[in-house]
Amino acid sequence: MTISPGGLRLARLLKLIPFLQINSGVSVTDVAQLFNISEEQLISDLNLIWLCGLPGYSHLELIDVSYDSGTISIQNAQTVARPMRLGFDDGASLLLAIENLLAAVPPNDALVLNNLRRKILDVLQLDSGGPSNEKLEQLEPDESTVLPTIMQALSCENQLIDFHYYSATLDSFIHSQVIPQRFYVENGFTYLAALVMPSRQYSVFRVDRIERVTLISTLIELSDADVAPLEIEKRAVEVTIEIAPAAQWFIQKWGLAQMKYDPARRRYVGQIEVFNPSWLIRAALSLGGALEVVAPTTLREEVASAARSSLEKYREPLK
Amino acid sequence: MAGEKGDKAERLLNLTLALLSAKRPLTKQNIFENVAGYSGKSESMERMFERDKDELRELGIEVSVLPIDAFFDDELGYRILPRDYFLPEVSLTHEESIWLALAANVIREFAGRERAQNAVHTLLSESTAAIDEVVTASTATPIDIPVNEVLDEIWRAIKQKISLQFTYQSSPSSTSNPEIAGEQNEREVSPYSLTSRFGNWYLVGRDLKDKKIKTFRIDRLSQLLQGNSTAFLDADPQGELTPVLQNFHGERIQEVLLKCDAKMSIDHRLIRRSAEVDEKGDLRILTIKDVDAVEITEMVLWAGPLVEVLAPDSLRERVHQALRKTLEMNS
Repeated sequence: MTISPGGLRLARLLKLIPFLQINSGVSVTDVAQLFNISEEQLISDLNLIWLCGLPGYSHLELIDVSYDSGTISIQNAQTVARPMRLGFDDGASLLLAIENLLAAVPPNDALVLNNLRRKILDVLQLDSGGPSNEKLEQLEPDESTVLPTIMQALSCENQLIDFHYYSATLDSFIHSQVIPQRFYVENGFTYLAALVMPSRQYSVFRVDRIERVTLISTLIELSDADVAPLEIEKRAVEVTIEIAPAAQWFIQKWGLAQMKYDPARRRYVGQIEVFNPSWLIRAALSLGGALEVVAPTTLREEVASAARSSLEKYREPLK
Repeated sequence: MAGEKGDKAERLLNLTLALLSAKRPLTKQNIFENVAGYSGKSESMERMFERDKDELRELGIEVSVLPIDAFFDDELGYRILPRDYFLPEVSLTHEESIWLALAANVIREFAGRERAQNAVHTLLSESTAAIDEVVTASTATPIDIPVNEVLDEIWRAIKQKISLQFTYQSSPSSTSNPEIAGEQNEREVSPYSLTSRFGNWYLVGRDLKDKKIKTFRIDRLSQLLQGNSTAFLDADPQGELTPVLQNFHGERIQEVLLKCDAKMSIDHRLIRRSAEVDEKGDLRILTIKDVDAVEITEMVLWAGPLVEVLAPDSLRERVHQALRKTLEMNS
């Protein structure tokens, strides 16, 4: 059965009425934006709600609606003080959005989205697929999500933000102040292009590695002439590596599309560009023998040396 | 025709309110006499009510047909039971409310946006964030995020208990024939759950060929189709699914003790992950609680010579072995 326009309108009204009761005094403009309808449509909906109520239909039974001053209040609608159940199709689409976002967002945002996902799954009576003892982790009181803050900054002109970014190469957090410019996707990863201050030079950051951001109230005057273009470093070293199939996840994590499976060697083999040898040395250590540096030999020796140095700590058993 | 639409929505809203507030089932006669919007000949009101009832059910509103008198079931009436109608209580934090408003709109190429927005409109009543913050989040400029629509199909199949057919490419490490880079084969699976680990989504379900519960990485699935619904095999959540999920999510270590060099930044992710940091001269002793064994091994190895595992012995040995293998492989 196809739902009629009247039925679709009822579905909206049954969401609007509880929302307006809980958020008494909200503006017509805000509600129209939130529910993706025109202000005229919202006024028409309010006029319709005003005609409805319980049998008897006197002023005691009719819903009381007022929006005269541009703010809305609804009274006498306790029968639908709460919204109706979440439909499965609608809930599943929201889950789809959340599940796709989870792979792309910073850790704090992923924590919040994961909690939201669990709550929606509970409402839809679906299993979360987590371990049976899984607890909902919460953000620390002084922490906040990252992407909403960056999006807020993007909606203003030249909004400066305080920015903490995890550098895997340095294995530490870089702290700087940047002006976000735009998001874009490359190799399946979402990046933020931003102007790093005070140098005013373009730089790009993988969104899922941005740890913390805070809006800064200082206003920056910026003209195109002030902006230094993005300079791609040309100091990359060509490195031939081999990766065991068990560490295939590493190829995906770092977007190493050049790595191809070689059935004869039973490994992934390829040449990658390495801008900082520290990254490759750390990667080789973390993969516990699943990554071999074939060439250049100097870098292979550096990996061996780093492994030797770490092994020193494990030479003697602990007492 | 706007008037007609208004009339219908008005009648449907009045009917919903009457059925939801009724303490006892309402007969059709009660409804025709008391609910605003029903008029005309008896047969036309009957047809109107049948259509309205179907439409409410199509919208997900359960209209129950119940005996008027609990002791006699010869006369039936209608009610919307509050327990069937209302959204269960959902407690959303401020940050969750902001992300709720953002999630449905933020992905630029997202076919399910309208339906996801419907869900947001339902859940907005549970929001604890200020309205202006919610409006700002819901009107943010969309960004490019890669979308895998397969997850949606899988949720539907889980909910409706329908088996799925798909082509699955196994990883080279798991294939029986190492000459082949990831064998492709056809699978029919009864799906139970979706779960994620280290940024990848997995389907947990029973392979109908050997009847075993397995995990399938979503990005290795292709040509997904609904299978034969009569072939769906259920799973025992406690006896079968829990052990598989626990095994899949891997070992957790309750307490890890690390010794780290003072040169390591106070902002290092191992220090930030620590429950306790004990300063001892040039060294720090870190205590990390309840951590995934694979994750902590990777973090310790990535930090290099600045960190040493003190406990537990199993993790110390794992790190030791990993370093020896790296040395052997690159010597």
